[in-house]
Amino acid sequence: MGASASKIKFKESLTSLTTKDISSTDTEFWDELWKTPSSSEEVFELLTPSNARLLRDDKFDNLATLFTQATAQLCQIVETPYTIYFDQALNCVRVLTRIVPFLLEKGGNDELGENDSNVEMLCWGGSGMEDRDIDIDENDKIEEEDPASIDEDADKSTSLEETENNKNDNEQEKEPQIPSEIIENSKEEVEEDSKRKDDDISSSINAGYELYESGSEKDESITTITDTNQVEVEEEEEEVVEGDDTEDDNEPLALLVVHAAMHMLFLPQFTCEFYEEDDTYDDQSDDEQSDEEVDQRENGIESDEKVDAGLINKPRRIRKGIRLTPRPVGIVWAPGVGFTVDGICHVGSRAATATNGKKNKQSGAIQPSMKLNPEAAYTRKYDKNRIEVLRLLLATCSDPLFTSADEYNPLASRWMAVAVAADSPNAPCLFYSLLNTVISYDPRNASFGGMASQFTDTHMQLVELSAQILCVLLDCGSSGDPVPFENKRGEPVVKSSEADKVGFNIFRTLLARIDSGKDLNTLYRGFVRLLRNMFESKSKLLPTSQARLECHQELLILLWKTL
Amino acid sequence: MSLYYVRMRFPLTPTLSSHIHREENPLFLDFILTRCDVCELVVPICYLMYVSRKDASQVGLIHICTFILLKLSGERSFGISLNRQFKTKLPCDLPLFSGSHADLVSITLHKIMVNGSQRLVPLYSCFLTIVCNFSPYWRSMSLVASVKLVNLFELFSSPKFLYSSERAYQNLKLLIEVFNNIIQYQYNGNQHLVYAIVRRKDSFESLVNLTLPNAFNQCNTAFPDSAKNTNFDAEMEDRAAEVAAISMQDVDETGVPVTETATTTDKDSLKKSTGRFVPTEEWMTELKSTLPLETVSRLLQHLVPVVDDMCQRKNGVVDEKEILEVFKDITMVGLLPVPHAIVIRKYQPNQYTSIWFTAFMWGVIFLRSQKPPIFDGECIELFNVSNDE
Repeated sequence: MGASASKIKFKESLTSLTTKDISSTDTEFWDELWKTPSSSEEVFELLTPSNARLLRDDKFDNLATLFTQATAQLCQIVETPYTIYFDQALNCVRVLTRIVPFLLEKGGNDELGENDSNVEMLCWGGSGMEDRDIDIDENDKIEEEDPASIDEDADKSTSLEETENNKNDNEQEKEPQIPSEIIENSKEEVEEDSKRKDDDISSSINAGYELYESGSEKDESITTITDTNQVEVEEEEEEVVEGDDTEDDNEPLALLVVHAAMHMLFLPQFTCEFYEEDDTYDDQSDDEQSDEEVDQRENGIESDEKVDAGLINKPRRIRKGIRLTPRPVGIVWAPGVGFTVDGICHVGSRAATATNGKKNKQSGAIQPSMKLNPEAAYTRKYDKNRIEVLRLLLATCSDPLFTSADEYNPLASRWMAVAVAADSPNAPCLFYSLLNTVISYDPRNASFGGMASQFTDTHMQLVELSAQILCVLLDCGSSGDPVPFENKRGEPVVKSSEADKVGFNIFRTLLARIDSGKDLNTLYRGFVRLLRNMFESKSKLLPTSQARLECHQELLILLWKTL
Repeated sequence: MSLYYVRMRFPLTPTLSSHIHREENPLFLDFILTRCDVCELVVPICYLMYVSRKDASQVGLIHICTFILLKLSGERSFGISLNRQFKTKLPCDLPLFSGSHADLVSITLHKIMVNGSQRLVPLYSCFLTIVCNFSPYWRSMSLVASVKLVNLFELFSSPKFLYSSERAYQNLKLLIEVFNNIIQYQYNGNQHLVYAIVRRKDSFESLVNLTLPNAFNQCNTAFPDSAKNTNFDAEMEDRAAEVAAISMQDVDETGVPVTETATTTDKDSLKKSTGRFVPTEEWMTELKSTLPLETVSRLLQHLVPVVDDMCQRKNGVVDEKEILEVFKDITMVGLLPVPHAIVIRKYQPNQYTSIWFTAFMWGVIFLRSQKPPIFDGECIELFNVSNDE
């Protein structure tokens, strides 16, 4: 398999990282690092904790380049999900999973020492990031295929100290086909004189950033930094960060990592089946300008399920809000709460059918998107990739580990705040995917759909990891508001004013809003089935075909959180 | 398999005050209590507690199970549901009994207290609170559970426990409340318990007749001066129990809060006294006024002569069944004090417990994410990581 050869190569690359200063423009080096196939075991074995700390404390520039490039590549794969780059993206996921906790160790808000401010700048530097932006070349190999495809050579990233003044990096990508040697040369010049304005650089820039965001405000951010002494820049940036939350002009790397991970959990043919974007539908709802004009539903159509659950409150109507419907529904990983086995989603469908009678024209828009192809529904063939990305998400949410219990504040983690914010990508899909993966797992017929045993083992791993991530995501921020609101289409929404509050957690809101008797019952049956596994899998009286779950503690935490 | 061992520390001073805790889903609890068979949940929880009771690394697991039961037991319908017959065969050495899920819970908790890890001592009051909360609805206690509960009473009234700390008698208070609830509200159907109490009448009587000099002597015998202060919770790091104690709010059956005096004294108990406990006059008065022994005393006053009489008539050879039959026919109405109000101690969410849960959760995730080891223990501050276990 040549695995050992690649392992040696990877090890060499890592050794260089901790021993020499590697220029961010050293394409050859970084290329090789990212392209060397690895496994998560290898990354964790070869990049030891002491190496990771060494990298952080002594060779921070290398770490910054590593982090920035890996993040950029994730953004890129999200933007252009070409299957041939999946392996490289997975390498990035593994490296990020490994290094992020070591950044978080030093990422606390108190006592910003030398290293801490470095970490702070790297993760949350906001506009500072523009300056160390990645200039990704179009590689010759890629250009044959598609000029818009992934820039796999995230080869150049200027670290803080080098603060290059890439004044022109706001320009649009001009000539992606420039042979990389030329760019290589031009970059070396920049290295020699970083203050020099170099036109060639600009042409090479088209990084993940530009694709990811508009890049329109870059000029300003860069001029603030130009010619300022580095320390001042840092201080300036910190203030911006402490002044709470990102301005939208350019996103901090931490946010990009978290968002990219959440996108990657629903990436066609990587973690879910291919799906059609539901554009028309989204546009329609976005047309609505005014926010939350509450008008009570005049015609109270009470659903049986709600009465069942003892809920008397009728949902209140608002014009618009943050939607809580998973969309597209076809990408949710498992049936269960909100989803039937044949792939029908009934989140918000109750209201939709209720509206049908009155406003027929809307029903057409809703019904097709409620269904998904039963053939493709709830596939498990992407479990492996899901696990890898979920681990990254878990790593980015591990902030609380590094505060003492006395100082713990559930609102403090900026990383987690990003993950649970109203605008976190695919949040409803993720919520239902995680919850249903856990709650619908049946250890009694572990060999689901005749899958081979290695698949079922992987799936069990996914179940356990899903439970952990769900626990974590439900732990921060404040609890969700159970008062139901829906938009004019009958979809559950949350008021934007609510979503803007400090401590808003979309996952807790989603949990609070589960209100149909059917869903509550699904939830309860799931808890009972999984907890009973603890003794049923041991019992000698039953035919021992039951897989044994080890995640009972996570289940109890989830149960506790739901009670 | 786990290389590491995680220890939770408990914060004494919470740093945040604005964090409002609400139920995550306001419908779920009510739904499972009214629409589902909650016993299905109780069985695995009891099983997990039972099998992990001796394992010091599973203290967190027992905590969370306890909190779940505590929360459930705050609901009247939970107590009623527990009367369902228990038939499941569990793959563990649980004592054999035929009875309800209420028996299962009590027998499990008894076993944890008499044969569990020392680190669980602070949770005892939580265990007893759980039993106390559902006891007014306990229609028929099994023989095994009756004997176990009365044994617990003996254990907690023994000098070794009673004088272990100033407030050690709180456990006794809860147990006596269990007996009172059953005698007052579920006398019919609970002959096993009544008989168990009559058989151990001496223990109850000696507590009723306890005097200060007696207490003083017993205390000195149990804890000689030379011995180190062996407060049972002397070196407990887990303060969850104390925390749980302040997390409790007394409510009556309709959920209306009862006076709060008890809660404030519980809060004071958070400040631990380090000195060795010696019974004093005030302590004695406090003890006498706290322990609601009157119902049991009246019961004994009436039933002991009945049993003695039977024994005399039959020359000391009396079948248990006969006595139980006689107890069944006796009515205690008019003999007992006026029934007390049912008090349920409801779990109150608070910062202490929510921080504890966060630390526990991350401890679990840390231990379970070792393949690959996503987190390195060296810089973790939320809990203590040691790999020497």
